[in-house]
Amino acid sequence: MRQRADFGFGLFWAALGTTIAVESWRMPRLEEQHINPYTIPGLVPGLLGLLLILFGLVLAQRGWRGAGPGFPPSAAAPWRAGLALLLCLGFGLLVLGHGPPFWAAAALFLFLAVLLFEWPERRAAGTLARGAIRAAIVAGLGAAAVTFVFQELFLVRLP
Amino acid sequence: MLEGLELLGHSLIAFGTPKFLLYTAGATLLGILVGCLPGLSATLAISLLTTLTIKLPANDAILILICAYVGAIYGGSRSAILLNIPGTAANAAACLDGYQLARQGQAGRAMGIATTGSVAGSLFGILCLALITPALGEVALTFQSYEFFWLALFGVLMSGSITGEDPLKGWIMGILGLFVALIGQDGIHGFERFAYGDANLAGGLSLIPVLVGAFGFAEVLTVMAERAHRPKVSAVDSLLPRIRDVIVHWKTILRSGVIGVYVGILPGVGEDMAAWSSYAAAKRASKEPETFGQGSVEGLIAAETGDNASIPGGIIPALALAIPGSAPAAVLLAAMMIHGVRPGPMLTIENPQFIYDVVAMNAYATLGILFFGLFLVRPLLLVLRVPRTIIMPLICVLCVVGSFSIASRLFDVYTMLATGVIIFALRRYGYQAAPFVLGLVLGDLMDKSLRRGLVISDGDLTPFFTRPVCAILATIVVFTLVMNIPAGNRAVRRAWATLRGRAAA
Repeated sequence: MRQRADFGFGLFWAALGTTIAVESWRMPRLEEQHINPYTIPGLVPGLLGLLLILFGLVLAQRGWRGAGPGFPPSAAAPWRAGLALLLCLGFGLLVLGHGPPFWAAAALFLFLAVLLFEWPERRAAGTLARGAIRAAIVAGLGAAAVTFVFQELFLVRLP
Repeated sequence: MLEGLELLGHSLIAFGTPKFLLYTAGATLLGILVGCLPGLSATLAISLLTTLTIKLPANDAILILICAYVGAIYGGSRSAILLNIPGTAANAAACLDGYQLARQGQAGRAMGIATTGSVAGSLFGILCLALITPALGEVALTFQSYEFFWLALFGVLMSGSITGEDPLKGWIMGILGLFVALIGQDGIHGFERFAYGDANLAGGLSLIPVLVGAFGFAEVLTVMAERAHRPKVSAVDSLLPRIRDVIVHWKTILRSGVIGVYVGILPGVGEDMAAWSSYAAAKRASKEPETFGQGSVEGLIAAETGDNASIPGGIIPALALAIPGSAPAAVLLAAMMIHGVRPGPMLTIENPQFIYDVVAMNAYATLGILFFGLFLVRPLLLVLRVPRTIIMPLICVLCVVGSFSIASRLFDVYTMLATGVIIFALRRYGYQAAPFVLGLVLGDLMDKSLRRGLVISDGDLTPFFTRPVCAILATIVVFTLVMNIPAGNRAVRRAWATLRGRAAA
């Protein structure tokens, strides 16, 4: 399974390297500006693309043969990973900068994150209400503290 | 020499004012707290603090960053000793003997030893920082684009080779970092590369949001995705280090200090490698190697001296060559540039005082870890009891705010989120973030150095291989690459066996 992942990734890196190399080749050489030909903008990215192709192919070949050092299995629970992505990306992409003030968006995110990640243990222990109160306190204090420190203390603009 | 001492004295006095001492205390304490918490790294601490201190004067901001850096590397030993979980990667070696000592009811003694080792390592590193940086800067004045090209490539490849289990994946990450650094206007002609008409991409991806994404947001996702365990903290006995532990192991301290500084100076090789190298060397030299891993005081001293000595060691090439010795040093270098400091060979001529300012900052940070390590351990341990479900969402909010604060644009937040998600996904398949970061920091230098070198030599590649420093670096780079590619490795071994056979005949 892991070797198959290495094989797939190897092909992906080789494809990405090819794209970079082709795009670098297609970059203007700026001849009309009479620049030194050794300073063309596509030179270094093109070389990097070629290196990426080389490393990608070596990785793919190694994965195909089932060789390589391997890597430890992930300890992540799929539902936790999904929830973390949903909450964090929802906060960063959809809520922030799209209407609600920062402190409200941050408080909502913190409340949901603390409450939902503690949900299984809280439900098993029958302390959901306590968990919700704690999440609300963390959310309120956390949002207020971040807003105060960045905006008031260090004079940094908030989204 | 006397001029250096005068500059150092000036710096020590300048940073001894109440304002700076307050910054030192606060930042060191914050660094220790971050270091204590497994999952939060020194690189994350510096990245987030860079965003927070963006409006402060350069010296104030860099003092805070260095104190947090030193504090975080030191703080990681707390959780290594008490929980058998290294607070930062640099403290993994300290787990072996530190946790065993804690299990034997000597957690306080272990923390005292870790404090002693860390302070001794830091002081040795600071001495080397003060002595080597100006000298290296002088040597680097003779460097041309050829040397800088190889140094940049060498740093990225070394980082890829040493970080993680798989050099090939490390190099791929390094190449990706180098490539991402080239997005936007190129440094010579101002041509927009890989921007496709997007105004945000044309300006290039800002370094700090990418770093915060790679080390902060990716870590938040990783930790939140794993089931939380409530830590069981060992009981703590007396915290004061025994003088005998220090005197008996002075050779180990000195050896580990030298190794730490040396590993720190190597571009891209971080504190974790310094700790493991020091530990391995101490075990080899020890009269009681069998006690290593069973609660050896010598082993713990070696690991903690090595990783803390490598902090100033990593700053040496960052200041003298603008090539960072480790991932946290890379962020520090970026922060210096943001604040208008121009590290590199010209620093010794343009702003020699700054080198000694950094020495003084490290010295005050070391005093900070000594103070907090001896007198504030028990309250600090409370932070280990705070659940991850509370800390990680807060860190996520800080990552978002920090990325936005650099230029007040949401594009940086999106950059941070995208980087974090990609690194989070790649880490599950054995790819590490450190070589990517090194590549990101060194990409511009490598790009300009290669093209300028070719212009100087009129397209002749010979100087890239014949100048003494270039020849050494090129040999190491090519040898490292060839030996880690199976076909190349086999060919070299065959050639070597043939040569030996002929010599024997």
